[in-house]
Amino acid sequence: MIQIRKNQDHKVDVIFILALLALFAAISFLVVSIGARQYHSIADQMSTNYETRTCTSYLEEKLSQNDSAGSVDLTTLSDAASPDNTVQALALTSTVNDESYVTYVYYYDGYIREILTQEGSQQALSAGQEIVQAKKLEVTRLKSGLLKLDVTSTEGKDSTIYANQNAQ
Amino acid sequence: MEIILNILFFAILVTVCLQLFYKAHTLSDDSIALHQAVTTCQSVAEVCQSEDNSADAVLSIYPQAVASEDKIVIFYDADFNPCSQDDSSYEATLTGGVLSEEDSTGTVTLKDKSKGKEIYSLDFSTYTLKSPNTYKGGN
Repeated sequence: MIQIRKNQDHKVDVIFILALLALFAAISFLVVSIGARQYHSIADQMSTNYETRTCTSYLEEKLSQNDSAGSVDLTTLSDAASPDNTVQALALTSTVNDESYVTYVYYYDGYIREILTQEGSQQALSAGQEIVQAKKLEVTRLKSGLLKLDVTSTEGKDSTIYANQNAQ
Repeated sequence: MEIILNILFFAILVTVCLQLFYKAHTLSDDSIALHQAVTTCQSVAEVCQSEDNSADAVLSIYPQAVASEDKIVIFYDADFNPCSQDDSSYEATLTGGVLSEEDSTGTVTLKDKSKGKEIYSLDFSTYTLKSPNTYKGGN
């Protein structure tokens, strides 16, 4: 009788330990999966933040650098290889050694790009240096000096900034 | 006894892990809000600079903003897009002499309405180009 009782107690102990182990395993799995999801979410947010921050800071800096009369313009840029392929571009004109150069900032093929060319020359749109990945860049002139810049990140997050040109 | 200690230790570890995840999530959200707040305040300051009359400039760009005698409040939704007061999660308050044209300084303060706390504040000065005639004395 005593032997049977001991065996039953032993079984309960084993079952309890196994149940506890299963509970520990389940909670550990849950915590790890929450952590993985959190990490993924933060990495996505950081990536979106990086894209919008880089893009807006870059555009603001470019516009501030070129804040001189008549040096900032909105234009349509066409591809040297296929002229029907056009994009809207921000044209920043500067003069070096009496030669006019234009820096075009535009969106093409998933990237905000920049290309420096001699005024009047045509380049392939794909030749521009990739600045940052994005989904869209749209520049609108609201008043004589005020520009509205709409940027959409690859995650689809819209960001709008206003930049004023003091020199007109 | 050992089992109770094990359970206690495990519970503490799980709690610490969950608190770390929550803290990371909060920091990430705060970082995004701060970045948006800086960009938003900067945009408002740029708009102020675009015209001699800053109040008119701001109200023309943000038509849903509410103007009072000494301040203009611009409302933003959770994604920092301008919106009406009823749908807003954030508000930017523009104050300073720039509104009354007393002087050229102003302050933009962006506040999270749900938390009731200020996220970012930007002091700025505007300058406008004057023609030489402005400085001519006499008649």
